[in-house]
Amino acid sequence: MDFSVDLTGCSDEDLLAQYCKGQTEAFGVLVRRYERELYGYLRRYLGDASLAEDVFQNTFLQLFTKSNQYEQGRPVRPWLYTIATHQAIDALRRNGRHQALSLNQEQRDAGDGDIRNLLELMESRAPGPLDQVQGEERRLFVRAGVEQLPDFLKQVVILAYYQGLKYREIAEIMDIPVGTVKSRLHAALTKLHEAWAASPSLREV
Amino acid sequence: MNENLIGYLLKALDDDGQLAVERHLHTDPDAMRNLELLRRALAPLNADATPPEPSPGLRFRTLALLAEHACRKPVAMEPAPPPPRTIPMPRRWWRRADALVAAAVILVTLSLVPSGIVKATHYRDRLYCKENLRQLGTSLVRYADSHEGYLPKVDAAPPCNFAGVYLPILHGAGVVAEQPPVQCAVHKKKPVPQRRTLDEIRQLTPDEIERYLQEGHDLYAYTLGYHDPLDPQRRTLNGLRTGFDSELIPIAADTPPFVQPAMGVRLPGNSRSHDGVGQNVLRLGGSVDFNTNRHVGGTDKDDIYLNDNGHVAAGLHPQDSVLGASAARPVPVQQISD
Repeated sequence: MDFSVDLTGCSDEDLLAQYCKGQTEAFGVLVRRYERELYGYLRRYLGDASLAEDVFQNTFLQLFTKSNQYEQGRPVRPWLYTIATHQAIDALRRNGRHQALSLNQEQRDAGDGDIRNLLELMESRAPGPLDQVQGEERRLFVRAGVEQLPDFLKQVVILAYYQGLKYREIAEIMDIPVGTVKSRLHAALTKLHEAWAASPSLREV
Repeated sequence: MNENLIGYLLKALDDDGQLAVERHLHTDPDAMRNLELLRRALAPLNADATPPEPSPGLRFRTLALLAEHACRKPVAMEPAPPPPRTIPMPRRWWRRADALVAAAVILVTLSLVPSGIVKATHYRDRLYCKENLRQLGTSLVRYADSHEGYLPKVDAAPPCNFAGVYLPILHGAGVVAEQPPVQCAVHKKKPVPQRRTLDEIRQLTPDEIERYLQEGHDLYAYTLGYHDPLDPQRRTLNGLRTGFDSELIPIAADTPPFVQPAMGVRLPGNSRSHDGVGQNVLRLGGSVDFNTNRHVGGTDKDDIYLNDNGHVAAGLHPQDSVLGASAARPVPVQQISD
């Protein structure tokens, strides 16, 4: 078997394919490649460094054990994020922190009023506490706002803005239609700006 | 089309979708105006754009977990083990199965990470040591929180004038576990000294104190504080204080390559805990870094194991960091002829 392939230049799909053929180093390259990115996602979503590390490890353990189910050519990145998201939700459930989606929210997701609400809000928005802080204080202000979003909105903000995933990838990860991804993102931004405007100071966040 | 504007800004649409929005923007001025509104809506998120960093070695720990999983799985599928022997094995002997699994874990981990066996072991020890120092830092801060920000202080006079006094002080304050992480991972087989509070230490005879110091020979080195710069006689000793002294000031580290060199003798070299390659250093701000030379103190990069006069004694000023081996007794100012 020829193991002379330079792994660092391989795509995620090729790495997993090489691993499935018996080149164990390929899996190590994959873990290294996603160490910062996937940990960053989990750290933002879970809000806890230790929990994020546990879920990070469990995610790759799942990928490791399910690698024999890998279909050649299937995009690895959204699959990895799907596993990570499910592991994260399980971890939150075990800690009693997961918010189950209400039936009302599922019905509301189908609406298209969110983008109109957001545009109206941004048109009428006056300077608020967020505009008065800079640097580290601003970063904490923004992060606190995102952390306080309901899970289903927080996920889409993190995946779309901070992780840079495409809408269709997010839809696959969250198992929702692309239209729902868009409306949740709009709703999340509306909620964030409402929350930032309503906080008199960082202490309140 | 408005619902795709944010996706366009984030490049979250497929190529066709991006192109469709671009064409629309060229023909609809309202769309351009809305695009700017939405750009402003997204802008604040950029303040937190720097991704959180994983702790060092996360990928190595992950690969070790995978290796262990790979090695243990076949063991679980083997037939039931034979009945236990009537004569119990001494507890210090590993069972053959444990030894084989451990060897397999190391081999599989190394096959996942192409690096030398020695390098991997050293790196692992450094990581565990870093984690120990972080935990020690947490205990010290917990102590400081209930003592107006002051860390445990080494006395200027006997009997509690030794660097390792931080351990009984932390024990007395109830902020460390029974077996706290106060020694480097490479010394893990050596016992931590018997749990004693400061009051108990003060009741010991000089010989008993010497025995106590020898027990704790391999604990992390600790700050000896500094002389008050406003006191020309250098009789006032200050302990370090959170929120007051620089966060870069070292407060603990791997044990130095000496306990108490002869007066005037500056012994070179790094801690031997990591084969002389360097030492992990815990700073007042809580960060831990591994340094290949010991001139990394505070803001002026001074020697962390000796004061500016080359003595194992309190620093001459706040930036003169000095970490003494746990058994070291800082040289009293009266004995120093500068």
